[in-house]
Amino acid sequence: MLEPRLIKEKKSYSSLRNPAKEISAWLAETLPHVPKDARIAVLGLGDGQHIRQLLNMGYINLSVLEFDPWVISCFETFHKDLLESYPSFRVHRLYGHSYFEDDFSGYDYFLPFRSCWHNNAKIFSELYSCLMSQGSILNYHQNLEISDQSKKAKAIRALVSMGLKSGVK
Amino acid sequence: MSSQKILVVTVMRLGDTFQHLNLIGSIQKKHGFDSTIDMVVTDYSEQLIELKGHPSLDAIRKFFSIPYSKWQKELTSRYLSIDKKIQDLLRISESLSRENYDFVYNLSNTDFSYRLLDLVESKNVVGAYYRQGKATYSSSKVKLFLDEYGFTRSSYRLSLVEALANSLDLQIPTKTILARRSLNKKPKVLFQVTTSDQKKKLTYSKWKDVFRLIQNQCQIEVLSSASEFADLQTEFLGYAHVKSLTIKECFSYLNSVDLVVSLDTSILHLAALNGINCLGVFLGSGHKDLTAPFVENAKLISAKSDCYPCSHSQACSQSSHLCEQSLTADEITKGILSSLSSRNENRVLDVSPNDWANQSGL
Repeated sequence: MLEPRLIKEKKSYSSLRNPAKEISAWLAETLPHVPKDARIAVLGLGDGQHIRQLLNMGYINLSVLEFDPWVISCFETFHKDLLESYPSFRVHRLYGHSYFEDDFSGYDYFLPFRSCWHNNAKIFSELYSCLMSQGSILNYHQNLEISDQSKKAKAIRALVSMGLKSGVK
Repeated sequence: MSSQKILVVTVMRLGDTFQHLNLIGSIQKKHGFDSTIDMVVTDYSEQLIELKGHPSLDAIRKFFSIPYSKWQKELTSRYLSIDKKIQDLLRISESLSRENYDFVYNLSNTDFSYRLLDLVESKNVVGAYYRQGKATYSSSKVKLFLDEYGFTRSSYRLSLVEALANSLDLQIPTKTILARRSLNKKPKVLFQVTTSDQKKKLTYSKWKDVFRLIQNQCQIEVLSSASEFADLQTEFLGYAHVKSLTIKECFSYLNSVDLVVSLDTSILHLAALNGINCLGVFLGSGHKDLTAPFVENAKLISAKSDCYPCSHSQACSQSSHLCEQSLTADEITKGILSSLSSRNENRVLDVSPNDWANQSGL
């Protein structure tokens, strides 16, 4: 069976030459860091082939974060079987910059699949740097008001003080 | 006075935590021996939770462990979430707040510990801490201590633990050596030759020279962790018997040893805590004034190069390891033989651990 390939505004959501190689390279780079029972969020849905591979490899506590409703509806059409076969698998739709209001604390790992970010690269990068440990902690910290004495703000300051090389005091 | 609940915060490395245990007796004396003492440690030092048989350790009711090294590692990871760590830290601080401590003693001079105490609700804090984001000191002596000991200098009047005790109005016990009657025909000398910090290391060939010089007078044993056992056994084959011990096993094994020779490591402080005769070899950022083992008659050998002592956080700035080269095998051997002869001059005490507090003036 031919695998669906998404192209929008002349941009492909996966490698045109060798999508399988692109996914294997991504998996090889990413997976050594990730235990199978981890709660994973993949940033970017794209053609969905990388998601299919992850689920088939046993990474079932999986969600995908995606901004583009068209990509989501394509996925629901072409990969309906995944949504039916893996009950813990979710597609988490994000609405522009309001993602700052979403709660991401349920995830252990955030895996960026950059090849499919083309049309939303800027906002995906922002989201990723916000969620990423070091980027996120510095972002959070830099955006903290000095007067913010909420418990969360204090916890962030404590974590920043743990000797991060680029940590700010 | 009703019994008080005390929390002791020592979020540092294992060696520092062993040194801080010297202050537990004084805290007990100050707040009554019926007070309950809990301790916050990090995963760097949580091995001490398993240790029993020392009055300071036995006085601790409950340990709370913060996964500090795990978080440090994860905070630099490319993929791990920060939100989970925030939630975990809040959970730990809430469980500490629920204990409603009468006094919290901060024995750690780290920014993290001050920030942690901004999250923990308690009636009184002794030491440095943040309150609503502002640096706060329980007394002017605490600020003076942090000003004086906050950066590396060539010499200090008091060791870190002595100065810390003074700043918190705690009495540090008289340095004690619980010399044991040796059952060994030849004195048994236990060596800790490895450390995680490259700057504090002596080369294996220099240790071998030392072993060659003392092998007729002593039984030589080299302490090893499980992970380095195979390497050390190959390295010191024919020179020393290599023993792989956990901290818990080492804690009891030390009682059969006549002398511990160690680089600036937690083993040196564990030996000191047990009242074992020690010889510390200080190189690199291992500062002999600051972190000398707290035990009577401990002998210290330190580097003689101009660059010694250097800063903790920086790599060696020299083209070769000058401070290591400034120490000879002869000097270390002399130190060992002198430590072993002074051992024979020590008054031999037959004391049980429970008598220890009285012996040390507590």
